[in-house]
Amino acid sequence: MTAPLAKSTGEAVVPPDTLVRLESVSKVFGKDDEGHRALDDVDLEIRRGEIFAVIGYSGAGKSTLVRLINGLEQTTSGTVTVDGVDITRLRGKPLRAIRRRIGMVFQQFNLMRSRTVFGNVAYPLQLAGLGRAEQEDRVAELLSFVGLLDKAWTYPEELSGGQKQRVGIARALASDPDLLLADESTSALDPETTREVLALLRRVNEELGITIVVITHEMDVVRAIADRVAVLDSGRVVETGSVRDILGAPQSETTQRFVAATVGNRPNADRLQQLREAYDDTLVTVTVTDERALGSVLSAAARRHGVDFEIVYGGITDLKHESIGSFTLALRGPDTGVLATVDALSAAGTVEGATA
Amino acid sequence: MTTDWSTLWPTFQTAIWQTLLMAVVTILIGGILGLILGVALFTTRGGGLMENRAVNTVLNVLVNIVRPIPFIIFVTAIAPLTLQAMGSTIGTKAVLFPLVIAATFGVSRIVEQSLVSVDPGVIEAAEAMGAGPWQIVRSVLVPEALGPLILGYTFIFVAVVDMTAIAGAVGGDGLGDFAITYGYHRFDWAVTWIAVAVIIALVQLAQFGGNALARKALRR
Ligand SMILES: Nc1ncnc2c1ncn2[C@@H]1O[C@H](COP(=O)(O)OP(=O)(O)O)[C@@H](O)[C@H]1O
Ligand SMILES: [Mg+2]
Repeated sequence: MTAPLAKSTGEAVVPPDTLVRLESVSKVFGKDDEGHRALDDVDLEIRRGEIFAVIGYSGAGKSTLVRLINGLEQTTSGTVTVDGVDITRLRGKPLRAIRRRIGMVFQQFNLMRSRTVFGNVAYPLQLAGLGRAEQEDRVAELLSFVGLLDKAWTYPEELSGGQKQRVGIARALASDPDLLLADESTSALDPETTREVLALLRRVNEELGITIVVITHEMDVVRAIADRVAVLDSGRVVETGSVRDILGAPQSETTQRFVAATVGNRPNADRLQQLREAYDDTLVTVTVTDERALGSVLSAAARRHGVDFEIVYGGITDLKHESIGSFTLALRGPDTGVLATVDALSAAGTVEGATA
Repeated sequence: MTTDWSTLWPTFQTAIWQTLLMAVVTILIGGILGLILGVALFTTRGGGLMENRAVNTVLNVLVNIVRPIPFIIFVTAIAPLTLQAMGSTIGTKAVLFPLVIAATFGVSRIVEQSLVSVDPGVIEAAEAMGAGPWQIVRSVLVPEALGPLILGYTFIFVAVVDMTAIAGAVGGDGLGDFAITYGYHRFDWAVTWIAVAVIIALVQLAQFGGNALARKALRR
């Protein structure tokens, strides 16, 4: 499932591990001066084989961004490169050829009511000119992959939301893409179904080696499946990095709000103030990816430095392959001991707010 | 007054066939031309598959000019054109010319409205899969809008039967002409009513058929 998106014609514009690159991309809707700037000078690099998430509030420009990657929308300035091919100025046939190698999944599924599940999944194969026998083989393969082989002859209206989205994913995989774009693919689904669909997307990534761009407004989705994430705010990328780094140490205010909404284990400003009033001790928030390291530091602190500690806030957040623990601690004991403990904690994770 | 049905019957039968012929030929030719015009109206809209402001404006103005003209006036207004095209302005064949034109413009709006009802997301999905504009028209727009299209065509068919009757007043043949010539002009209400009854039956039949087909297309 990893045929190149385009046969190389001349020099490769991007290094081999980058599948999609956006360079200084801006998108203005309407007239240039009075128009609405949906994307503002966006630079992004999506690596082959990863699940890359773009998170942002409604209207941030997420859909616009993802639609630039398969040329459903054209940039106002800047370039979009997919697998070494600059698609920015492509139109008509060559653009359609590129699109056939990029799958897309939608929030509202966008299945054809007039076609059965089979007909929907076979549609891209018909566009590719496959014969009926080949279509049947391929559709059967795809429907078993998403676990809906028994639904081949039903119509979309008879399916649940989760089933519809699995058909949408099967359809997007039909043309053997290297890249899958998922625009709010779980936003219309309940939590349980969301988990199922996210698990399927992970299988698509891990078993078929397909790079996925996930668009979402939920940090839970990012947490569950993404390797790296870009935070979009009013058309600008305010932060990019590994999910672990972004969740562990969010820099921008927007990111912090997204993280707080999903991670519930860091006290917000009000709560922190209450804690400061309740405890005379040194309050620190330490964020770690290995909770065991934290445990040994704390027990050592108690023994060696004569420091007592109390966990006053915190919890553990699961990521795709790891977890992040964040704990707010009240440290009590001699000043030198507390300082030594904070030092040891800094070695185990990220420490914030070491105010006495 | 008694009606001499033995002499009138063959004329009546011919009139029925003429009406059927006019209606069917009109809905076929006008239906196809109207489909093309309607697809053009829809796809050249702003944000459409083949967005083209100029073409869209011209088509819209044209449709808006032709469509509201009452058919009886339209027939007489384009009589010179009819004469050019069909070599005559009277008879079943000649009346087909204004009928087809009027039907084309009527159908075009119905088609446009039906296509507007197609979920834009589905069109976008097809575009994302690399389908070209014509492929989308054929394989997405028309099948997805089939239910409303059938109902729309049924509506137009009924309107065409109505127009054929009007055409009877200005040189056409068929049931309209029959009712006027043998009913109205001879003060023979029975003849008029029977012509009306046949027209009603025709319309009912068409509507039942259309509804059944539409139900099938919508699977309801
Ligand atoms: N076709 C369009 N014409 C005009 N404005 C648009 C269009 N598409 C999107 N926008 C505007 O661009 C901004 C970003 O939209 P979008 O990319 O859909 O955001 P998101 O997917 O993050 O909710 C919004 O303010 C929206 O109103
Ligand atoms: Mg969106």
